[in-house]
Amino acid sequence: MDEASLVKCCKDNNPAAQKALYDKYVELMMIVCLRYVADREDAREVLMDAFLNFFKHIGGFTYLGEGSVKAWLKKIVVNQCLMHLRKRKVIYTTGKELEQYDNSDGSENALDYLNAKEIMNMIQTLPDGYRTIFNLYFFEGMNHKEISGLLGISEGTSKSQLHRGRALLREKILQTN
Amino acid sequence: MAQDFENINERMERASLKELMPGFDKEAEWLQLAGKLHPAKKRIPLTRWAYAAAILLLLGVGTWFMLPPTANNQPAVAQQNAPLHAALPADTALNTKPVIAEVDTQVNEIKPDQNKGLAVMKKRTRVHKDHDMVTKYTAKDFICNGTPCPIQICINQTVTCPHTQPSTISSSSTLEPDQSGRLRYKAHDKIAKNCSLTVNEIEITSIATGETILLNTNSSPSTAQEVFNYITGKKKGDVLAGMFNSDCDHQDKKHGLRLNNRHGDLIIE
Repeated sequence: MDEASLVKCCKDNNPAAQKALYDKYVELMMIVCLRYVADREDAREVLMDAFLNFFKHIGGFTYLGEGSVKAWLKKIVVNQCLMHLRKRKVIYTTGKELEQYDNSDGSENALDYLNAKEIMNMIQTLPDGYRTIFNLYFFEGMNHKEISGLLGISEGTSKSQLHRGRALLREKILQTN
Repeated sequence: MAQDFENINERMERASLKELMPGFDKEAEWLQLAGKLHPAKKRIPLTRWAYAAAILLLLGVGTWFMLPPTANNQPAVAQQNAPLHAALPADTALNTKPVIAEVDTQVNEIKPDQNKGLAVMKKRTRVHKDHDMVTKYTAKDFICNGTPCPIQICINQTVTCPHTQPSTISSSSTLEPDQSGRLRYKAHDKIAKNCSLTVNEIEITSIATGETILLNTNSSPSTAQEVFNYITGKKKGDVLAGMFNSDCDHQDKKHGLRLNNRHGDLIIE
């Protein structure tokens, strides 16, 4: 059964179709959750709530071709993660300290020497604020204006957080290598 | 500067969850999610519905019988004050059919002029079952007038129910000579279980002469209750109700009036 049909059946609350879509995307979405929420149990709960919202609101979803389900589901998962972080009152510090970390050590290809698990572990060790903006910028492809609007912070804070997060991550990578 | 993490998204997209989180049980998570998506509905078996409906029905019927009646539903007290002949239909004397005259008068009758000029709105009120039955006099047993004279028998009974005033029921039956018809009175099996029925008086009148044998609790040779027992068939045999001093032709011919149910139907001899 193709994805369009699965969506249609999910709109009729068909458990088999729901299971099929769940199987297709659960692993990918769990990885997304783990990037935002470091605690694994919390990540599991966030994923559960995200899938619940997905199936609950699928009636209002319009299938626009291959990839549209994945994009919509990922958006729901990311929003659910951000909600979780908001509840934990993640603090985003201002951009005054930007210059302090504005140094590149030239390790552009450092990631090439790391596997996915090592990269994930490093991302998870970042402070919540850094990690969130890092994820939104590099994984969700958002710019600082979009990030600042989404999180209710200034663009300067977004840039600062990203810079500091990236520097911290680079430092960790170099230590590993 | 951003080049170092340019391909990080691509790297992570290729990653497998088994590698990142080996303990993740996809199926167990699904079961939990499915439980939230499709919560099990509690179904009550049909038989339990049937039991519940039966109990509710019984409770409803029980409540209906147990409720005290309202003042508006008090049984009417029937009295018979009208002269005997006035109570009879005009063609009674000529009518060859068995005639049973009904002389039931309700005391609480509303006079028409009381509501003159007023719009009358009929409000349908629930009538208590007990009283509904009380107001329906039951012609229970056949009685044969074996005498040559027309006879009227009036039976006055009192119905006593809890929470209500006792009510009197008066019912009369007129029997032509050598004719049989139904004798009208309130039967015990037509009142509610929690009510009692007593016989106060029985008047047996010879219509032609106007002589009346009045039976009550102190009458002799028989009381009203004793005669009533023969009327209802509670006792078998015959009973002397009283004496008439003259026959229909106004001749002084003293004769006793007996009620006999020895052969089935009640016969006045």
